[in-house]
Amino acid sequence: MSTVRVSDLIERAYDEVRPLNAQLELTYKCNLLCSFCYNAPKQLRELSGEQWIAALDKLQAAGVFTVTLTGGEPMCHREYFDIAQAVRDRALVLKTYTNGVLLADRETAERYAALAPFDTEISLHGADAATHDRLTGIGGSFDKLLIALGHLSDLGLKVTLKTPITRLNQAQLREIEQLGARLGYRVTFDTNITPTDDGDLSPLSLAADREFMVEFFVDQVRRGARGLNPRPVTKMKQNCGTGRVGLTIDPYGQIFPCVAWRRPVANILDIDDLAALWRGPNETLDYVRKVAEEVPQTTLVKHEEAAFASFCPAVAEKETGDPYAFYEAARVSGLTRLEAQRRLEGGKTALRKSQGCRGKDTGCALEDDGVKDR
Amino acid sequence: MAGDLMNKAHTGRNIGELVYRRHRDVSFTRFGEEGLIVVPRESWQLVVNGVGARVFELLDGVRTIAEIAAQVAEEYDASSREIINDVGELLVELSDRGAAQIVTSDQ
Repeated sequence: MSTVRVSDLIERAYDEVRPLNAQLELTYKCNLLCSFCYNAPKQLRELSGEQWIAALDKLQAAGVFTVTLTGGEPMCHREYFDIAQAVRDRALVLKTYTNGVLLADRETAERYAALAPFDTEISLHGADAATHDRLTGIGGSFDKLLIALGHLSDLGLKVTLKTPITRLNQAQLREIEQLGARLGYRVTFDTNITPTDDGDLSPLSLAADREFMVEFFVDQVRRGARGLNPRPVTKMKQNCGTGRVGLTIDPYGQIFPCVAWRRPVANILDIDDLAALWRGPNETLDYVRKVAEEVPQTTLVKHEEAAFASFCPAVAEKETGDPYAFYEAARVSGLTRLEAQRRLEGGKTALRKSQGCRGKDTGCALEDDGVKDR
Repeated sequence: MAGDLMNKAHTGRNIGELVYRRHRDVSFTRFGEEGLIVVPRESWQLVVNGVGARVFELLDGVRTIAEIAAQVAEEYDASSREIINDVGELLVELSDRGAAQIVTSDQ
């Protein structure tokens, strides 16, 4: 036993610049056509299973402990199961972000369960087939998802349902929660729709309207969900863990400082010692870390609503060309929560105090609060 | 706790004679001196100190508890008798959570 907590270990990883969490975008192939997808596929050859498995050794040697397999749809990589098994063979923690469609097949679901994943995050876009399928662009995807969730429940797997809030599903959020509860799973709502990785802003047009979001946050707090959690801007050491406690690798092997910031650091195929790369001087990593450290005291302190905002310097750079700019979507996200807080205070509803964290933990390996870095 | 271990673990054998191994699903990593044990099926995680981490590393399904305690005692310049009780206590919790399991003679 130890008096040290998991959060202390994560703090240590921040200080030691240890990439605890790796998100591997195995493939950009997908069996759905979501209109707000942020992937930006290129005409390049994707890594084979053998290449991904070789990459795992480099990742583990650099200190990675949690491997999240994502995409695209990761299970559309023809060697997904070989790669996932290789993760587990190395005693690494396995997570998967999936749309769940392929898990509607019982045999596939059983094979997946045998991997003993720590968490499976599945996108649920609506409370009914019409809404879900409209957002995924594929008829029948909702029905397959329900079958898959039934299998995973039978098999005793932990699943987190994730719903990006859009104009198309905003009226169904309560029903989506109820659907999740019937299945025995928690639903986390993603309040941020982001640009695509190559900077296309069109997905933002699907974002829910502002007045709705204010009411959403008020409703969440009143019903006992996590509070609005204003960030202690003046005490924050950094905005996020970009280039520090997590990394992302795209299907072509390019390593990025996080899932949102698409500045390549190197190609995993070209390097032998990832630890040396991560901890040594590197122009890209040094830059994003510096921005992350400076953002609280340069950008966030200037805006009252910033303590409530979902601010991502990578999105700022995509939207404005300046990673320090307090871009419109961040401003709106802050203002909606701030307005929600004011309404709650008017109703004498207690808010949770800030927890003194270092900001949004982009690379938290084992925190299970639904917070992701985009 | 040693008594608990005997009750849970069965056997009538001396604690020191028992052999454990890590469960194959368990993840483990070091953070310097400390270690983090994760049992995915239970969504359970435990931070262990240096002795606990070393014990967990030594659960290979071959060494007895007594042998592990002796090795850890030597490495930490401690009494094997004291260590063995700590080891027993840790193994009870790890067994309850599915992080470790006793190796029986037919395995």
